[in-house]
Amino acid sequence: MDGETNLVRLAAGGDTAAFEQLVAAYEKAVYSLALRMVGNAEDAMDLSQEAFLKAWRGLGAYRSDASFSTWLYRLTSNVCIDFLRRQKRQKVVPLQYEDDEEQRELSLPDPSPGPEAQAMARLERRQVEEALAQLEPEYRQALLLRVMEGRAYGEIAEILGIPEGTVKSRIARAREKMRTALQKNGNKRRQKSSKETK
Amino acid sequence: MVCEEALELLSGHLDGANTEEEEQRLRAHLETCAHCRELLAAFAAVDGAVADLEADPPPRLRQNIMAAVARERAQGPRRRRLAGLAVAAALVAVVGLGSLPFLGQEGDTADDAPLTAREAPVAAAAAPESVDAAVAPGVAPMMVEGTSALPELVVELLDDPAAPVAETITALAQLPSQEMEDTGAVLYEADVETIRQIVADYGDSYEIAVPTALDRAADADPCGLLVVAAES
Repeated sequence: MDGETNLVRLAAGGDTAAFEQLVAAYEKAVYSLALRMVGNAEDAMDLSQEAFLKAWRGLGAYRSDASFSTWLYRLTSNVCIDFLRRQKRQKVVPLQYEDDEEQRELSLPDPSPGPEAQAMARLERRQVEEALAQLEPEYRQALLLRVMEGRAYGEIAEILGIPEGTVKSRIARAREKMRTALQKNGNKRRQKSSKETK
Repeated sequence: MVCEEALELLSGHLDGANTEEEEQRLRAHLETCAHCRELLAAFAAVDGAVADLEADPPPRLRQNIMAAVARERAQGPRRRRLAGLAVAAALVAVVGLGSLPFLGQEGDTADDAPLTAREAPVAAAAAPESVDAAVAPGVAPMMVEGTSALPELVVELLDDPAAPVAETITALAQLPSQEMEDTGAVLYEADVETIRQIVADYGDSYEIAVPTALDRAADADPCGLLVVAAES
């Protein structure tokens, strides 16, 4: 029995120490997915807690025909989508990404970047976040699971409950949408800065 | 090569998901198509940027989760949070009154197996601490004034603010319902067959207390579904 299967079995029996190890193993993945789905740390915290709590409660009924990570990702994905749907109904809220000061900036080739290069890196990260925010949730979700979480098409299909072919086309479309959005944003910035210098 | 096809081949290539035949077709195409070579580079850059967006959660997250787990654990190992609901359903079945206990807060415990109709009066009379399946301290059956006769069988469901049943369980929209004055819980009236179907379909998504009497009941017997609001 591999380590994780054992942890799951123990946690299902009420062993909180075993469950905490599962939390430790998956909290970054769950939180990252939630954060990039809903766009702010506070909601991401709430949703991550909710996903893990659902996992704790549901472990007793959890069937081992899906892997634990698939099941946990599915829980996370569902709480995020439900949250976004409720938000959508209440009002039109464009995703706002907070200034991720605590988080790493995009890695730079220059080991000791000057202030301008640092500003560039922050800008680029913000651009990527904005482009991601513009994607419809279904596309965003598929792209994040593939590229940020490294899940294979088959697993993503299980997580989202859609055919593998749909996974493949959603990811392809998501990449294309990201590319065009980043180009547009890049052009806007260049236009803006060229206007300012006039 | 058609645009859509190219997109998926490029995307599949990045994901290592192309067949050998698809890879060959893509390689051949890339030799002659500069646009697609640029696309591939752009997609790879997008991937790198998105992968970089992974974020470490604050330490608070784990603390909050384990605190919540500990709170639930304190209610008894693997006990459901539907405190007193199983007893309530049994009470309704036995007593046949329109009486529904005021639902207790945390600290309640309920036996995993709902009480049968015969055991309910004993449990109701026992002191809260001595019996596992106890009605919580402070719980008192309340007459619901001015309601029509309630079904003898009631299945109770704990609502989830993240996925309210009113939105998820579309079948409920067709059922007559009434709101319980004091608790705000909503009672839907249907028959056993309908409620059994709902339990089968949504038992994984919500915490549901099912009286054992439901097993013996006939499809056409009246049966209620009491949706209890989750604690805030």
